[in-house]
Amino acid sequence: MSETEKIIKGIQFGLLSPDEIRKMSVGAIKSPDVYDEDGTPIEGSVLDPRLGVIEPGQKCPVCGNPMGVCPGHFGHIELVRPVIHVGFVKEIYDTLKATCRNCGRLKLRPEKGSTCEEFKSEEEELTLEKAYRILKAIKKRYPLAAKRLIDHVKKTAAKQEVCPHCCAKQYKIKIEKPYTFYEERKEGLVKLLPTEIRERLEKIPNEDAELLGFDPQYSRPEWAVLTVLPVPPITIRPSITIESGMRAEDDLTHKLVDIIRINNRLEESIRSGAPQLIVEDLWDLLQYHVATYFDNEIPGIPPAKHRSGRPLRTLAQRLKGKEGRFRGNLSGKRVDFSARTVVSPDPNLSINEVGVPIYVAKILTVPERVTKFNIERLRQAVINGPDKWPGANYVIRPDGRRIDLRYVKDRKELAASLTPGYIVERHLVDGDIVLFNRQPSLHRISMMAHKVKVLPGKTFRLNLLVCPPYNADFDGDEMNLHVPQSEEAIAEARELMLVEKNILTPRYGGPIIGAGQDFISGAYLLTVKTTLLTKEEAYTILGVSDYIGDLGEPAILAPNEYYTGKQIVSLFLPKDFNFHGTAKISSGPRACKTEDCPHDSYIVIKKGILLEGVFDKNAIGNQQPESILHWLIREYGDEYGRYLMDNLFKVFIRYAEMRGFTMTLDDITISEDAKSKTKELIKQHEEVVNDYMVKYNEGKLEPIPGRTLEESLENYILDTLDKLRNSAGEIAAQDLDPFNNVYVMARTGARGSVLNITQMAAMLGQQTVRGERISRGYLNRVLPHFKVNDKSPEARGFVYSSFRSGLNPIEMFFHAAGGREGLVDTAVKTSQSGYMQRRLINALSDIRVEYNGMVRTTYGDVIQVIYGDDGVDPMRSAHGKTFDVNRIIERVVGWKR
Amino acid sequence: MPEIEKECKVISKVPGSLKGLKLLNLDCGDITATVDLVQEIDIFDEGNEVTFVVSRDKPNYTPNDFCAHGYLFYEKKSDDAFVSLISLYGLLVKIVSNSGIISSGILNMMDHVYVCIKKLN
Ligand SMILES: [Mg+2]
Ligand SMILES: [Zn+2]
Ligand SMILES: [Zn+2]
Repeated sequence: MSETEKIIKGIQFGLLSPDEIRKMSVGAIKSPDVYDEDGTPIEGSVLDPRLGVIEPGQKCPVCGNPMGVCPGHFGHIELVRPVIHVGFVKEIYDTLKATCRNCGRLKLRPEKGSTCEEFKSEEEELTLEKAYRILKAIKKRYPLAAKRLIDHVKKTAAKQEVCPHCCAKQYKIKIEKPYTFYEERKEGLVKLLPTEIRERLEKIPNEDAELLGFDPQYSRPEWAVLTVLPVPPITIRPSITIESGMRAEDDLTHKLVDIIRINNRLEESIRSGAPQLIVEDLWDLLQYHVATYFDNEIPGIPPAKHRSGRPLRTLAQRLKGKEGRFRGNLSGKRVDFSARTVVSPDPNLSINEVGVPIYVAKILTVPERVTKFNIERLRQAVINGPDKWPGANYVIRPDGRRIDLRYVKDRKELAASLTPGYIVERHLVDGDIVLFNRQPSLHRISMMAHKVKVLPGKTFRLNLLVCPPYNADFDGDEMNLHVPQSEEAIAEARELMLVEKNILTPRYGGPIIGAGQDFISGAYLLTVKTTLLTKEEAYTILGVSDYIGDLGEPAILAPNEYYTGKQIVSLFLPKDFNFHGTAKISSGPRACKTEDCPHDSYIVIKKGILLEGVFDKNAIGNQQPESILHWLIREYGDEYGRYLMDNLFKVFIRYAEMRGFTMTLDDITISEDAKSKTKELIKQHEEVVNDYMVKYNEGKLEPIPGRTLEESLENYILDTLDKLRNSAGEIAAQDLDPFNNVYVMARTGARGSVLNITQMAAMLGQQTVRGERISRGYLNRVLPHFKVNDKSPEARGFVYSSFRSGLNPIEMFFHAAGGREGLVDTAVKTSQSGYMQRRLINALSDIRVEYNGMVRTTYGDVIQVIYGDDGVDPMRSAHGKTFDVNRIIERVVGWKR
Repeated sequence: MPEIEKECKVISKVPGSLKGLKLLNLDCGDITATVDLVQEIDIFDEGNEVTFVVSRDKPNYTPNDFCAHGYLFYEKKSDDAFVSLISLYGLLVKIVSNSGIISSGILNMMDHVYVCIKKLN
């Protein structure tokens, strides 16, 4: 190997000149036929062997390399007539407009003045020389300003109807998309042939071309009109053999054959002196084929199709879009050592673990170097082989030879020959570190490290508490798993990405992992002060945890011994932990502001003992900053946080299971009395609505400032109907048992809200589309069941029924109309925010925090002198603050208050 | 010696603000006490004469008494009376007195105490 190392300083983009294309070509490609009778590629065809080797075992006739080493070589096609390069139509158009049709000069006044009588100077400040001087001065340092200058030059020059240099009269240039140019002469529209266009572009002097944005050394304007077409190497368009022995060619090859065929026919027609009309038709056809060869999705022309009717995938299509080269192969790619399957829950796993099917564990491997400490284990793995877990799939000998265990006859013998220095690619086993990921990966905790737990079954399993960071549920979600292969990668994953190290999110410095749903219901039911447990019950629920220690004296000694739920929770709290604050249930009639609280809604923890108050969403919920859970993790560490979630949280679930937790129709069924009260309420509010409408019709309605009379009426009605639903909800709330399970879920923040209960028990209320009552559908009415212009609540989407009572068909229609909006919103929002996010990520991905705390770009430009201008890592902050004085005081002396 | 030992009368037993919770109101002369009760430990009736004991040491008790332990964790002066709270790991005992329990030096904040209510007859 004697390669000289070179450093890339920059990349120059430009157009290929016809000479360059010929120079880099191994030969002209002329034959439209690809194979001869015995199936060998024809020389001079698009599969000319000189274009590169594609058959294994062959040697390249040009560079002498075998397949895989030969990079492939270009050929070229001499186009009989020039054609426009579709990628540069805009540049050609701008250039034609700005330059003289006669002399090719840029139509800016020369400094010495124009000699042409008809040239109108208009006191135009910008002269050709001046523009050139400015451009020279700013081009390097201020490329964006140079671009603006060029745009200005183009615009000014295009306006001139007389050339200031040769006095020639100019015609307006018209373009017919995608690539036909016309001149608007007195006699009418005259088509400009590519030959004429190219001639005009050729006449433009280099200085003038520079002012039009060209860098003439690398791209002369006329090179945008093709006279020679490069034929890319076969390596980028390999043919494939299908089972039947038939050869199928790449789309690009098809396209090139089309081009050659038309080119030859055009040549033939010209030579035989065919009528101009026929020649021009063929020429147009050539233009079409060359254009679609570059881009087969040009608006205005039909895409070139395969015989089967499938549109061809030509050059632009290979690069563009999600599946294109950039987004599909360079920004992201398929990788080895990864697996994907459906996820399902397992509350018995640690939050740090992931359940991996045995089937997957036998395919994914970790390379482990043989040492005297692990040799026996690895020997057993080799003996077990690829089919018996925990086995191994490959052995790599110290000389680098890789042995595939599938084909080793005597694995025992191979195992015996293992010595330190061998590497065994062994199956995934319990405790291995893997990365686990769910798309769309919107934040860094969409990808976390887990410890493997190999399990039977076909799904990945995860603890329910890790759902929020992944935003995963189990309605068919799939997730990806990656196995780091090097010790460094494994160590980094374990130390930085492990789930327990990401309980606190960098997004807002609160716990993103925490209780939800049943965990909260269970925690509430266990900690509410009316819960007493016998010793056996206490044992049962503690049994699911790893708690080791004394249970202590039961809180109630006589008349019988009972433990309390708070006593159980206190077993898991650090002995110096203090906290006070309100629970989620502290609201409305059950609100408390001090310890003297009859509702158990004020939480007091002193010296690690839960003295008062219940654990609900405010205390242990996920995404609840400054909560008990947050302070516990902040003050006692991630590992303790994991301990709580793996043990205490499991106790909550176990208690809910033991007590039983469900919902019944009764929980949302209101009494007859409440129903008649609701009816009364409806009548009252309908009268109010009617009043508004009468007033409106009489013109006596008082308009809301800044709104029309009609808008005001709608506003009044919406207000009234909103009040109606709220009142109906209050009636239902008074009628229902506030301690029924549905209410428990809503009040503790486990699931659902008071509004949900209102809609289930009392009435759905107004359905809206874009915040307004539903009014579109038939002419002046939503549905034919109503009179035209009926503005009554029921005709405009007010639903009197509840989910419990059921909706009538019309109400059901309105509800569906309102619900549709939400669905459309989410669909639109995700696509828009996804695009925005991708652009932001691409723009910011090179910014990094240096070791000295500065935030810099890769070029060393300073973005921030210290990260975030305050140096605070949000993940380790007190909910964004550097520190929280009140919390520090509480920690130290809180128990004394 | 118990820190507090009073002869009291059960003035009333009323429903509390949680499901299954009852509040036992005791009149002990210079102090009044409100004790959280739930069904499992509800052995008192209105008019019962009882001894109300708060003690650092474990008092003697029988299955006919109510006896529990917890922590004195709160005391505030409101108007002209002191409100002190003892948490029996959840169930609260609220004591209203003229001079307070912590303030008058009988007990300290977060003292572990036993609370017993024994029927007299
Ligand atoms: Mg899902
Ligand atoms: Zn080659
Ligand atoms: Zn001219």
